[in-house]
This record gives sequence, structure tokens and C-alpha cells, in this order.
Amino acid sequence: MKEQFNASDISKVIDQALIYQCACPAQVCKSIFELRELYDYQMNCIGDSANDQLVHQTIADATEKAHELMEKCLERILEIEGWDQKNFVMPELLKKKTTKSL
Amino acid sequence: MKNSKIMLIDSDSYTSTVLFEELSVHGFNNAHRVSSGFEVPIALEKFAPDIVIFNYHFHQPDSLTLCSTIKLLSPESATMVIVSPGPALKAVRQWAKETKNIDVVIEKPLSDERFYMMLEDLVKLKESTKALTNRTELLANLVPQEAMLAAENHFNNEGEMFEAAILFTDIRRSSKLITTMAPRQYFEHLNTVLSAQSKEITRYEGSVIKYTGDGLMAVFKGMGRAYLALRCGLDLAQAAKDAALPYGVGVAEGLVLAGLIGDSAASGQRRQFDVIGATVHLASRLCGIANAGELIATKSINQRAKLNAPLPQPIQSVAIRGFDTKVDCVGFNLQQPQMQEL
Repeated sequence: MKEQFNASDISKVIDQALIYQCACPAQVCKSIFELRELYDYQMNCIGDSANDQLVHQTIADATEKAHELMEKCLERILEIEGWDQKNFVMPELLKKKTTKSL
Repeated sequence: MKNSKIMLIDSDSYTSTVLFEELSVHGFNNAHRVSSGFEVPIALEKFAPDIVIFNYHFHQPDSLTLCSTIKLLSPESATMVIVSPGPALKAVRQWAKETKNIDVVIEKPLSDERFYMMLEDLVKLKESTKALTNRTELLANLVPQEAMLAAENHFNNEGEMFEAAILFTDIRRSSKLITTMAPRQYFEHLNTVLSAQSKEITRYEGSVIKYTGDGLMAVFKGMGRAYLALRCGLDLAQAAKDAALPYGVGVAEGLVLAGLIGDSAASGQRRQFDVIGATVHLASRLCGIANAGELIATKSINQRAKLNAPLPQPIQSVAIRGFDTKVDCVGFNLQQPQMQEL
């Protein structure tokens, strides 16, 4: 499966978005990790029997599409929120907004 | 519960601030923040936290060793690690499994409900553990060590037989003393005397089985029991001359039976640990005939103890109440000048 963001980048986003209510990009990141796990799981399952193979391949294909979609979504929301997309650093404005809301 | 001391370790100043303020909003006001691993040992010592919350960051994998530092320096503290899902979560779970240094692992982003529910559960667990420890410590002072072991090992009703040296002390003319002294004053003196005796017995590896009102009963087990019991008895007799309440000492050795007295089948019935047998009666009787500052022991235990000094006075064929045959004894009167063995 093609990965646009590596584990370190995604973890960095989650690490900065600590609290649930101000962590929508982190929710997307979490979904990406879950999709990756689901894909890996299906890859392990493929090869058991002819019928099973079709089931697991179907899930893997759908997961791959969902993963691509969520990665695109992450790229877009990071852009909208103004994150540093090279170092994955939360913008100062967003930090202040989060701290103020507490 | 909200008074629990929480230490927050987070190297990122932004997330640290967010979490610290979040805790405060939820009423956890007794929190302390640490940003670097170097500060952790000193902070643990000064703050003595109930709970340590460690915000783990993926790009600092080595920081997990801090969890071992926490457990090593502050084993009483519970450790909660907050971690991002994915590879970081897997690494932390693996570390927790291998080292057993992490009590709770919780995933980011934190949902209020889950995080505070877990935090409150952890606080409750800490409080109940602390209460249990305090109760155990209190019980350990009230109940002989042997009784605790017997209860832990689910002693059966048959008890355990073993060879032991038994030591008794008893205050002389206690009835007269208690009628001439104010009860509180007598109690204070009694407490001082018996506490000092108990300390000596522990020093000689003996165990106080019970306080008998005006004295105590102790047991000495193991290979060196005769020597230790007699040496201890001599020190106690020596101390009797300066004690607020004068007392005598008796020592005998032989087979005894230890166990819990009381019905184990009846729930709620009080049970008491005791050591019984003819040896116990003999030591008690010898103590009864000893004068203040005097130790009376059986001749046989004195021979086995092989003490170099002081030399005892032989007391031949002593008639002991309740015993058919007379017993050869020795007496050490440490209130009089003693002949030293050359």
C-alpha cells in the first residue's frame, strides 16, 4: 500500500493534538493507522483458501482506497489549519486557540 | 480523591500546558510539572507523587526508560503513559509487558470520559492500596510475626510442633506496685519496660508471642536458640536492676506446639496464635520463682548454650508445680556481684 505520510509524521500530529475536542487532524491520523493495521491484517489472511482469498482481497482493496482518501484528507486539513507540512508542527495560532478554550 | 498528588512529565511545553490546565479544570489541583528526564529523580523525591502521568512522544523512544526510573525511585507511585496510536502504542505496550513498570497505557487523543475515568480508578486503587498497607503495618505491630505467617500459610487446626527455647519475664510484686502507683503511671512504666524487653528479644532473633499482663513470653527457634535465649535472658536480667518495674526471667527448652486457637470453621470467630506445651509451663514456672533481676533456666539449656560467663549458681532438684519430677536448674542473679569464669 502506498503511504504518503510515514508513521513518524502521523505520530507527530497526534502527539501535538493531545485532547480529544481539539484534535480533529489527530482523529484522521488515528484512522490512517487503523486502516494500515487492517490492510496488514488482510495481507496476512490472504492465501488461506480460494474463497477466503477473495474476501480478504476485497477488504484490502477497499482499505487501500480508504487509506488514500484519508491521507488526502489529512494533507488538505493540515493545509487549511496552516501546519508546517515539512516538520509537522502545529501552527502557533492553533496552539493559542486551544489553550484559550480550556 | 482530587487531592492526590499528580506529577506530569512532558518534554513538550505546549502539550504539557494543555494537560496541566485540563487537570486543573477537572479539579486535580495538586499537580506538578516536569519537562526533562534529568529533573525526574529530584522531583520524585521532593513531590512523592501518587500518580505519574508521562506523555510519551514518538520521536523520543529512549524516554521510555523514565518509567523504570519512576518505579525504581518511587515504587509507591502509579505510572500512566499517554501515547499516540500505531507503532508508538505497540512499542509502549511491549515495554510495559517486558518491564512491568507501567500501570496504565492510554491512547491519544484523550477523550475526557475515558481519561478521567481511568485516572480516578487509578487514584482509588492507590488509596485502597495505601490503606491496606497501613492496616498491615498496624496489624504487624499487634500480632506476632509467627501468627501472621500462620494465617498467610492457612495453618490447619493441628498446629506445628518444633523444638524451641521459651523465655518468660514477669514483674515482681506487681499487685503491690499497681495499688501504690497511679494507674496511668504504672501503665507508662509497664509500657517502657516491656517495650525495652521486646527490643532486646528481637535483637537476639527471638519473637514475642504475647504480653502476659505483667510480662511477656518469647520464643527462640533454630540452631542457636539455647545460646540466644540465655544470652538475651541475661541481658534482660541485667537491665532489670535499672528498670522502673523490677522483674524476673525464666528460660527452658524443649518441644512446643504452635497454632491458631479458635474455630477456623466459624466465620467471624476470633482466633489467637499461641505456643503451648510442657516447656512453656516450665519456663513460666521458672520465671515465677526468679527474684527481681534474676534469671532461672534449666540446667540442660545452660549446658547447651555453652556460655563463657557469667557463672551460674546450680539449683538442684527444683520442685515445679504441675511437674511429677524435679528439675535441675541454674540461677544467675545479676543484682549481686558475679564470679567471672577465668
